Amino acid sequence: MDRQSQETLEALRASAENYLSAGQSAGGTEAPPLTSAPAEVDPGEAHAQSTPEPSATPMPAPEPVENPYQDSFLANEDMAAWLVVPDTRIDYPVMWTPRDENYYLRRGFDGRDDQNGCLILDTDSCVDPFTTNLIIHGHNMKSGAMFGDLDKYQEEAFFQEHREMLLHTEDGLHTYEVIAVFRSQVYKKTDQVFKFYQFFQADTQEEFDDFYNNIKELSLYDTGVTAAFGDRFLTLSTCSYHVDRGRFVVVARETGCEDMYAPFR
Amino acid sequence: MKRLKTIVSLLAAALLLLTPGSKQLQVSAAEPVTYSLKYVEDKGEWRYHVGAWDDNNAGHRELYYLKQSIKDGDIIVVEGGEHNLDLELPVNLNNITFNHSHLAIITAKSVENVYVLRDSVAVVNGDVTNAHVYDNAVANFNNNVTNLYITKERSGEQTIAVVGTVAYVKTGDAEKVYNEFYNFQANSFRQEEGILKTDASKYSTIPSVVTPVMPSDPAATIPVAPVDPAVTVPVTPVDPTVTVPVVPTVPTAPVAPVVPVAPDDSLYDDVPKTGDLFALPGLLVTGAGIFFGSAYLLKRKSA
Repeated sequence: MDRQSQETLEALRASAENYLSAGQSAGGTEAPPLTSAPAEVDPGEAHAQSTPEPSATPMPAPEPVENPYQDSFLANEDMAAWLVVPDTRIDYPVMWTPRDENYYLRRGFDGRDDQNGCLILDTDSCVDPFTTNLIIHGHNMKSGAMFGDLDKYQEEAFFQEHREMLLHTEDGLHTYEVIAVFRSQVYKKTDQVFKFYQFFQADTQEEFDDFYNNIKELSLYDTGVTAAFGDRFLTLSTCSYHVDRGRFVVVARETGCEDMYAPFR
Repeated sequence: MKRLKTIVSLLAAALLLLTPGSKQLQVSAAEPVTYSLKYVEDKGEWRYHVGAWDDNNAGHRELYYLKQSIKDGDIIVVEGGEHNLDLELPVNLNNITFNHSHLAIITAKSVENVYVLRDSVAVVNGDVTNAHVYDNAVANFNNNVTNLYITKERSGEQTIAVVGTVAYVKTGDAEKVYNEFYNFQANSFRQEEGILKTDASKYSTIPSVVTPVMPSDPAATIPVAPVDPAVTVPVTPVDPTVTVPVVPTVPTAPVAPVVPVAPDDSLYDDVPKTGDLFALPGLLVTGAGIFFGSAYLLKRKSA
């Protein structure tokens, strides 16, 4: 990685760590536990939750906490999120540039040339509002940087120890659990096959099932994690060399989301 | 005796041609089967599995059975490992993929497509139509190769040798073509860690003009007269004591290139290219040494 880009990234990480450690020491500002995202919300039920019985004691809204990646969001408005896979090297900003998807393919967070590039949120994905599937592309660097270690998920033992993924957006923290790991490839436009990279939004059960059934079928092993219509996914994709234009893909299901971050100061 | 053999062969061929209905003869080939090969540590040997290798599934068998069941058009995938593989499959294979293989030697009648992926060391005996070699792979083709595609995904440091001729060579990555070469003479193609070592006099940088083959006039075909099936052609027994000397294979003259259509990116879906194009892998001197040594020994053994 370019030294200056590396330093920028380290500074951003340090900034986030400072926020996290400050939040923990303050006690009251520690992030609240995440709640699991409901698969399907009954509108009536949701209404009932939002209008509690008059006799019930109103629950205090959780105190918003400062976003640990606030400095990074403010430093570059192209940053859509920050991805962390605990206990791995995957701890990077995720850039979103609808005007040019490949802008950060060979550029660092600071916009300088960097062969590692940045993690890229597919332009058809969106975090505001969230699409059903967020696809993040990253280079499979031999050094292990970016998604260079992603293919370690080929081993089930690695998956068992790294099931969880965290995505910090401007508003909150989203947690995910790996649901499928598979090899695929970029197909010809005319190929009538399952293309994981074309699934972003499931508005119907059928659309959801098509994606879900395919990733489960392709998965190199059974993760034991299931999903239902209404769940959201995070898909990490990097180059693979089992075939021409191969891709190695890890899909995770959202297990929790909390809009807990305070607006930027 | 040779003359007698020739006559018998011609008569047999004529009989087949003149048999009523032989022109409608149809061969229904079975679907190609993919066999994954992997060294199974607890068995202490290479085994095969039909379909993708599944470590959780013990349904793998000895290679002995593979040799019995494999047929023309089947597909072989050699999975990575720390052990060498030397396998002879007397069929025409559709595909062989070397996936992080340590040193794998496959002998076949011919192979349509060979994929030598990154970190693999492969030797192929048998003519190859399309050979694809990626990144830092080491490959030795001991017969002719029609089209050789040297593709850079992470790094372009392939080490490749071809004992036969190579009609067409293309180097490049997913985005562009670096070089195209044609008509490598027999035993001349050498690339070491990404650098072409072949003397420039032994290949061409421009394609030869290929004379188009005009379709023959169907009306001009000679009608085959039906023959009375009751008529049988006597087959004279061949003297088994007479042995025909095996003529050593002479390297064939450079063949006219088959100019392939370069893969056009516009044909593919637009997905960010996330390969590591610029990382420099460690030197493969040791691997190359083992590879060339083994190839040499193999060649001596087969000579």
